[in-house]
Amino acid sequence: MGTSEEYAAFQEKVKRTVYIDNLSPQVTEPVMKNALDQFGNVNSVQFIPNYIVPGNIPKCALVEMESKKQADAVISVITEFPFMISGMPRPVRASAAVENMFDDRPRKPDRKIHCRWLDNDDPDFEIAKKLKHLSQIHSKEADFLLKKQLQEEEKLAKKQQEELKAHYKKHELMDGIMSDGTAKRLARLYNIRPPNEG
Amino acid sequence: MLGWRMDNEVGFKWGTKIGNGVRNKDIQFFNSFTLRGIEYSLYDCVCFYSVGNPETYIGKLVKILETPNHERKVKVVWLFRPTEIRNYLGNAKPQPQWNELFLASGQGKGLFNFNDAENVVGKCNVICTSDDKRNPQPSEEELRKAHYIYYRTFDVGKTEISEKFPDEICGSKVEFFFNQRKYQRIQKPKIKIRHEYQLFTESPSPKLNKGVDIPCKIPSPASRNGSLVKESENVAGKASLVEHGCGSSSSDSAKLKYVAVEGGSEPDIQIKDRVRSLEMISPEKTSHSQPYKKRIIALYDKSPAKQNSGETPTKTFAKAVPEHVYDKSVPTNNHVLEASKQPGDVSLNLLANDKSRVRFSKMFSPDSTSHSQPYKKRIIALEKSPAKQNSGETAIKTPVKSVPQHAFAKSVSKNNHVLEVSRQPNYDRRSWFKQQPWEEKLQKAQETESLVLLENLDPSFSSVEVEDLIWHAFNERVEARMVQFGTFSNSPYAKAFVLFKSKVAAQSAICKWNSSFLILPDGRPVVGRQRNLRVSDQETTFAGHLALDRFKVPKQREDQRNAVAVSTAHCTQTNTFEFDLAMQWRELQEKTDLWWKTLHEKQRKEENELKSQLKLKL
Repeated sequence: MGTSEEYAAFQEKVKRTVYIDNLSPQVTEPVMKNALDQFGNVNSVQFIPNYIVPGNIPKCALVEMESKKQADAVISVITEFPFMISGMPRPVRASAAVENMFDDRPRKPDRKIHCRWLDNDDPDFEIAKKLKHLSQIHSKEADFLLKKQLQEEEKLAKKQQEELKAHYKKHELMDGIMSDGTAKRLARLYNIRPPNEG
Repeated sequence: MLGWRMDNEVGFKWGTKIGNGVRNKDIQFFNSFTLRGIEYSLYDCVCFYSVGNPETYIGKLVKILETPNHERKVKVVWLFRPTEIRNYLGNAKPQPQWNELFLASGQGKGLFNFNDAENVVGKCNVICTSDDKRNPQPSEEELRKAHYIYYRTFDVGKTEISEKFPDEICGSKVEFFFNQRKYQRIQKPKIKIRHEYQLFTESPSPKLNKGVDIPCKIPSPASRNGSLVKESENVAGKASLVEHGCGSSSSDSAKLKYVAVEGGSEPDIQIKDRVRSLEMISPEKTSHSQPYKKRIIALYDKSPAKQNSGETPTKTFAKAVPEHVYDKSVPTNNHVLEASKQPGDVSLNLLANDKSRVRFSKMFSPDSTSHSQPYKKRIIALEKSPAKQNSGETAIKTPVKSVPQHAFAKSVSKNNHVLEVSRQPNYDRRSWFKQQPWEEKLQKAQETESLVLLENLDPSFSSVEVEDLIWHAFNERVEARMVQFGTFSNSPYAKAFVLFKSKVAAQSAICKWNSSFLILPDGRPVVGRQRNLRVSDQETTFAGHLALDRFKVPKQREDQRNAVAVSTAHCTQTNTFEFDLAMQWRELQEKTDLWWKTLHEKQRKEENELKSQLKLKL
């Protein structure tokens, strides 16, 4: 356990893995596999479960491909073109996986961690307290930013929904008058060329 | 467009002439020109407007000439924006930054053009950040001020992007395309610098003039007068800031300097030089004068430190020191004089010799706190390290690996002893028993309230390391899993779930955490608290996936571009409506990324400041 070989193998795996996020919660493993099959062989798909962040945030997954080249291909295509999985128009995002993303990663060999306890009479106690306090503030800030971000996303989604509806209505209108002959009649009335079908 | 136009109308004026054409003696070459009040010199980067294009074209002026017909032309070698060469970017790694340009090179169409000089709309500040040996490296200050940077070339013939710079581009030596060495000529004025600095300590104006008058007739065919315009604005700002720092009372000197700059062109070189050397001292244009005081103190403190170690820094240093620092007689202070030779690197050279000093300068983060303590403490801490001859290793930032190994057994000892977290005993035994899936364990633990969320960990910890850590710290065997990097957890802090054996154990651990602190090597206190798992609700809605209410199933016409697609994955084509929507999402994604990045940076800074106060080494 914790040998260099195991770690090396793990690193190898990391290189082949792509981190994809902004996924819809409805995306399942077969869907992912299907989606990324065009890039090569998908070895495994692991969704990252969300235990901490409240609310509805997009899912993310670690996809292990067969080779690093395939992983690179996935990343480059997804970054260049908006790639959508299971719905549109929100594109997914892909980036190269990093070791920290795997929670079952083996220990890094030759790494030693040191820690200390600090008590009241320790000169650094005050500072540690401040640090702790600071970290709490930071996590609150992060939470807040997260909330804001989600709000923005919803806003955008709503806006786009409206746009889409409007477009669709227009389209339907056009469709309607074409199909029930209104357009043709009007054209004859106004003496202009009747519109073509299709 | 021509010749009959009066110069005054457009405000066009030639600068110094540098010669006539070889082939055609009637062509005159110049090394600068002034247009609408702005002076453009050879090898400046300028912008051209193009009809219909929201962005200007940027290029470098490589020749400035007047034809026999009195046409004023400039030869421009282009600096491409990423969008201009997007078809050839391909997988250019790394992806171009938003302010990155590509220098045209090679042979072919698009390398350069001859344009009318009057069509120049403005100058822009473009810095070359290439690692090429021939390129003077820009200082941090320059990087901050730069509008654009470039370090890659785009060969217009081969349509290739490369980080290598050929020896010549478009007939000119490539050195001209790198950052200009502004202060090459200032070999002589070592002594002059000293004069300049006296000005700061003794504020009376006459001396100022004296400094300015020192003759500095430096014949410079390629004088960088153009950049002066910018520098002069900064001088006033910088000068006033230094004043604060030096404690000198008169604000007149600042104004006078400004005046001096406007006056002539020659003496300005000295002022620029002054400004350069001052960069280390007061680069920011913020109105917050506190940081600079400290910075100066800290900076100057280092030099006398070698002579009197342990001298506590006081603010009175600031006044006396400038002279001190730049006095030739003190051997340690030759750094500054060396600085004049390598203008690009002034800020680093000031502290060149001692490596710990260099790191020290990089660690400056003057903004945010108004608390002057951190700097003092930092100085003291650093002073100790050279005393220890620790070859540059500072007491504050010690990466985990280089921590000196304390010979600690696996026994747990507390209270100021450093615990080395090694493997727990019986580690292998865990795999003997069949383990339940992690999810179930989590749920169970939450029910029995023995679930603790550990925060503030180093993201590179692995789960087993966390377990070991807990074992050593509490003598409790636990199971832990790092929380995986989800969509929004890209922060310097990492979290882990820890399952204690029982509620009691969990509670006692939390109590311990509340009363005293467990510190990790980089100074972070590990925080643990009870946290409930997030209840996953029915995730049916997903912001960003749109659906139409009515769905015309039978007739799916090809031209219904905005009809909802499919359950399969696809890339969109650029001509669809959904492409536009997708782009909007992309934009939002990028924006949010930026937000997170800035937040994390800010948090990191705050953290580092506090951490720097930790006196005890781990």
